[in-house]
Amino acid sequence: MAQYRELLSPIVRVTNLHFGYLGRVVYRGLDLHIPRGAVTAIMGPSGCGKSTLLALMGGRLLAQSGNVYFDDIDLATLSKHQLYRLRKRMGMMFQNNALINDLDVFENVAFPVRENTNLPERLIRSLVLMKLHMVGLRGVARSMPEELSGGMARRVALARALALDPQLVMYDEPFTGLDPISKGVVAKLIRELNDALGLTSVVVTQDVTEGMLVADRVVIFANGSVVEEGQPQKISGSEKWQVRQFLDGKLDGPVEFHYAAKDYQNDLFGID
Amino acid sequence: MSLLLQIGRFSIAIVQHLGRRGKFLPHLLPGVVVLYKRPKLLIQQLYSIGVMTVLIVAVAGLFVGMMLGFQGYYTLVDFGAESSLGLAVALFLTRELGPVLTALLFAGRAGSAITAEIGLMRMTQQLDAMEMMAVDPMIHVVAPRFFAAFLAMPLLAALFSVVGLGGGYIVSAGLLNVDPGSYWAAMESGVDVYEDVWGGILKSIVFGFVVSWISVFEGYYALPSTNGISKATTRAVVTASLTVLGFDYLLTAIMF
Amino acid sequence: MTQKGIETSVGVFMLVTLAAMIWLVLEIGNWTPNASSTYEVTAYFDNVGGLSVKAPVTLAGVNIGHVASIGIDSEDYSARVIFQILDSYDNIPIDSGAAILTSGLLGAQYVGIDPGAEENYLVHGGQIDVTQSAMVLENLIGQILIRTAEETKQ
Repeated sequence: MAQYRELLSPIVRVTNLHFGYLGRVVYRGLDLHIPRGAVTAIMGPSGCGKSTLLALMGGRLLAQSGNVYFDDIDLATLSKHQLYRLRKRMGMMFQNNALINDLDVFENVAFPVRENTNLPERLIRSLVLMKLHMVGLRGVARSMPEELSGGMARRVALARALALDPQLVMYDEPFTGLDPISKGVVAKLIRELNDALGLTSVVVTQDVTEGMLVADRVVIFANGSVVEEGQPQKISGSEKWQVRQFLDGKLDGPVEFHYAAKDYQNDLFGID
Repeated sequence: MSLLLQIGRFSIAIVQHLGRRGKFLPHLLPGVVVLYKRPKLLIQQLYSIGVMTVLIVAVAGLFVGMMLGFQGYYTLVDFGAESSLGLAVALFLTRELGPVLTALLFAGRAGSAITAEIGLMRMTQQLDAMEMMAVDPMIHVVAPRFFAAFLAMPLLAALFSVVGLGGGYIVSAGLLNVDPGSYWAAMESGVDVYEDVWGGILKSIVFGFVVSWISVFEGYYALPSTNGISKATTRAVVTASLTVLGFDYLLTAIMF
Repeated sequence: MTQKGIETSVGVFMLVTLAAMIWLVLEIGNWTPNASSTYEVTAYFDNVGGLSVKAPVTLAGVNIGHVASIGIDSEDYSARVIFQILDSYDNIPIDSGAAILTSGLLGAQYVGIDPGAEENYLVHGGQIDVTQSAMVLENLIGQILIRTAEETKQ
């Protein structure tokens, strides 16, 4: 099975990507690929552009130069209509769940189905209930998003991301802000659903423990470029100092503790 | 030299400011298809924007009409012309106070709500989520609010005027003993349907467009933070109110 | 609120406000949509005073039409006023008079028709010959001053 996977092209390819905004350069000549069928974890310290990468992969941001390919289709060449059609093959789970407030849980998961298909109501009902059952939340189908706990809302968002049975699922910080039990549940769901449904998953996270547990392949980012990639064992054994700082939670390394500032003595005692 | 520099910068800023809002229109207006494809969304917004603003518009209209009755009476009675009170109240309401006050009240109540809602959906990434689910947020979220507001405002202005006329009647016939018949008769003979009534309706249509446009724009481009949303909401109300007053002057000068 | 409740209240809202708008236009604005069911009658005045187009034309106080246009006759420099009289009032004698009156003290000016005695009636294109111009305040004051001067002389 693994050999067969390697024969297919990566589902997402990023080549020579340059991207920046508000005068800040985020990526300079980035190359990345996401292999099909696997869970790829993208990890790194805050502000290194991980969420931006997801936005670029989803076509929400346009790179200044370089290419982003989804299933060998260059996103930059698509019209708005074509981009929307392509997005039906992607599912995304946002950091703050992004559930639609006015709709209850059932309607939230049904939303992408209603908007993108003409399925009859009975079928939609079965589909939504199955997705909710997958994440264990069939019981709260009629609750409103504001009534849910963090972990439950996260799982609803997950169910919604999978509503259209996408080829690629992107998870933006799925473990952040959850208690250990919920974290475990989400990690289990990501892993098992990926294998059971034959998906490709991209997990962007700062959570080293869960990220390593969930992933087939890990990519470590620092300062806008890839510093290490490979299987989790390889990463945890890496000697590279950027990787070590991130994994071990060291105070100083490529990401300095002290943000650039004037000389301390001058600041405190100097003349204003 | 620095004064010239500031003037130059300021002028450029104004052009940029207007330009961004102008660029927004061609993205917004095609959303009119929502009326056809998803009427439920429009109806939902007509409820929360139109129906929910009726109370404040009606109460304000009543009080303004009553105030006009009083003020008008005490001004006209010195000329012995209190029989024209109905005409005075009608003209003030249909020409000016109906469209303008309704627009200001609407900007404060409904316009700010629209800005806040859209801004919050931006902040909680609901708009991004919709994009990723292949739903265009302009069509699903923004257009229904814009067209509901645009439709509701002139209707509310008409309601304001009618209630105001009633308020004026209550005060003049009920309290000040002006002859009820002459209240309505003076109105009917003096009010010109084209200049006064249609002029007022035209004004409220223009105001409706402006207030809806500004509210929706500020919400869509609000910065995704609590501070950003609160700033956007106040900016929407203030800009909309001032723009309405400015257009009121322009339209009045052109029409009357 | 339920979906049905929402749709109902929106329907009511639209109906009520549209009705308000229509009422404003018809009742207050006094709009007569079938302006075509009228016939034209002309009259010449020495002075129309403050009479304006669309001013009402009345007979015995009843509104029977409106002023369509006010112009100047180039031959004798009098004012030519054209009325549109509603077709339903087709029994106005041809020797009737038209006077420019003021409603109330500060009111707008309008035309009052004083019916004559003839059995022939005005038709489209007819003319009223007996006219009374508007009262011009300055002339009135002038008359009063002259009369007072004459009385004090005596």
